[in-house]
Amino acid sequence: MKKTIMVDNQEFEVEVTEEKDRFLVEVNGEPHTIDISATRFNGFSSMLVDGQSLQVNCRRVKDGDYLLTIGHNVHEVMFREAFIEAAMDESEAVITAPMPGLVSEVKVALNDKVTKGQPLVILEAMKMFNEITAKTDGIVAELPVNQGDTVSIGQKLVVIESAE
Amino acid sequence: MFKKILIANRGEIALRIIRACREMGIEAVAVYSDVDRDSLHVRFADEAYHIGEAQPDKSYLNFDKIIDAVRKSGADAIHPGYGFLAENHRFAARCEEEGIPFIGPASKTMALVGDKISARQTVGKTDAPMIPGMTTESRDFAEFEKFAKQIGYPVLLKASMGGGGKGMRVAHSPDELKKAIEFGRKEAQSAFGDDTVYIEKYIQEPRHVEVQILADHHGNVIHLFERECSIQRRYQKIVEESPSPALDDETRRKMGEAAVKIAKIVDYRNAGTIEFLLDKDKKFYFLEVNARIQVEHPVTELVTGRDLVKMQIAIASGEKLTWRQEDIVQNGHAIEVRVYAEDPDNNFMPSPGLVEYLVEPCGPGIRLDSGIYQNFTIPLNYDPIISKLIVWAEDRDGCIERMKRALKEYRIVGVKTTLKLLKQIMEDERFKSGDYTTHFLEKFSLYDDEIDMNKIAAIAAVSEKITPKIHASKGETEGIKSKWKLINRMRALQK
Repeated sequence: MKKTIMVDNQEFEVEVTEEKDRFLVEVNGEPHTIDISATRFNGFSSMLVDGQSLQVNCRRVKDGDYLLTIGHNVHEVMFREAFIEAAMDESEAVITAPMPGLVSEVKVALNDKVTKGQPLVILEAMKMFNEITAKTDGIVAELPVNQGDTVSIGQKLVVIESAE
Repeated sequence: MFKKILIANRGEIALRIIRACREMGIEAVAVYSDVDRDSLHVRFADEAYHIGEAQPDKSYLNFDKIIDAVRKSGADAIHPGYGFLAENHRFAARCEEEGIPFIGPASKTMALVGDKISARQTVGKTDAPMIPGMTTESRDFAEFEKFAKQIGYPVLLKASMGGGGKGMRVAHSPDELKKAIEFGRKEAQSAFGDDTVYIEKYIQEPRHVEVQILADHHGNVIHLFERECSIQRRYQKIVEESPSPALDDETRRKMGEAAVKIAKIVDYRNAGTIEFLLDKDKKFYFLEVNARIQVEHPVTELVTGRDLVKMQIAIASGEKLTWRQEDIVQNGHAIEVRVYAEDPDNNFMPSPGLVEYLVEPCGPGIRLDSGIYQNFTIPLNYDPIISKLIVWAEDRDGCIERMKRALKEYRIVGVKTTLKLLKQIMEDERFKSGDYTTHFLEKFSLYDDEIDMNKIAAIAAVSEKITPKIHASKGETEGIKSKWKLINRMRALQK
């Protein structure tokens, strides 16, 4: 069954056929053979891709959304449904914490009108103060954090709805 | 000899000192803050004491809490490591008052060399070359101006009590100098609590070469040759190596002798480093004295085959330095890279958090001084250093190849790291040639590895098959926004 996936903002059409001891994967029509070892070495699976030996760590962010670590590179993989969801998130401008930290200051309130680039929250981490700004114009629709809160990476800070 | 040493530090250096203690049959006492309970140094120590909240001034920088832990544990000496209280002369003085041996120089020496102007005054009494500049302070702009004219523009304004580039400004004219002094004083006051500034001739395209020294309490001083530390980002060293590719034997010998003279005149004791700058004509000038064991000490240890930390402990307990200068030789080549939990694709934003998976390099010539382990959460309250990877080989080219190999083996999943940047530095032609200055990273741009995207897509397609069934991610929902990567990288490396 053909599926559309996004790898680092590039689209690919893939089809996976599971055989007895390996996978046959067609990528945009091009065939590849992958042999996967079930044993994980510190989180890494051994994959022989067309004979090339690679160690891959795959972390599931949510259904259909994965982060692949191969060597020192991290690639984001999204299957179609997850991609649509992510795109929807962006139009609502969900602003999340780029790193773990402490909410040092909340500069806006619910229903405030904000403009692109406007500082929303100040996040303190590693002796640095980071300004988290609005990516679009709009109205503050959600503000689930307070001054003094500790947040983890990816935690929702502000949701901005475009003023229509 | 000491029976028990309290290490007033954390992370990889605390672990380093614990290992030295172990090899000498000395008990090692660790101290930890609220967020460091799970740290490696707590796990490896013989005893561990909680000393307070995460904030450094409530724990690792807190004199009373440290002294208190010494009393509780019955430790008979303190090793301050590097950073934190290591160069705090007031803490060293407090230890002297309390009768607790401080493994380092005397407090009066630390006070002398910690003040750059007084250090220059004292070193000026030797024949060691110094950067032309002021050796007394002044509040009179006319004096600054006269000096600048004398030594010639451009000049560099520096904070006397400072480091790390804070308060430093280049001035090319009297007008710029006036502004530099004004802003420099403000920055120095805010960063160091002292607004004393002075000027030196600005050395263009310098190389940073430092010499390791050891001095005992019986007047014996030796040097253990040099380390080249020119590869820096915002005054933070990233790569260090020894021998320095910039030096010929004659200069090396002269620098070593100058370093010993400087150590003697400031009455230095224990381990220290004399920093020099090399100009484009390979002339060297005294910069400052670092009164501590340094982050990059393993480079010297691998090239000379000597354990500096164990010798620090021996010296502090009163033993004589038995190593003779003529016995210290440089053998082979060593390179150290510092691995930080920072995102080089996003302006080196600190990236603390959970180390989900870790694969560490091993094999011939590899030394890894690391503060992390798989499943460890790197706290956000301190310096985001993950580890130091130090590699030794018979010659420089072999060392670079070995370092590339080691970096390739090193995998960290869960936090962003500077591993990719380090690998690319090792692959750089200019680095390979050995002909680089402190401006190296400014001209350096991070590039994307050549990747066969079709292969990645194939792996991606089967990724569901290799993901553990139940895995609630802590939330790395940040996708990669590639078009901003290049801009951020360039910006970050040009600072």
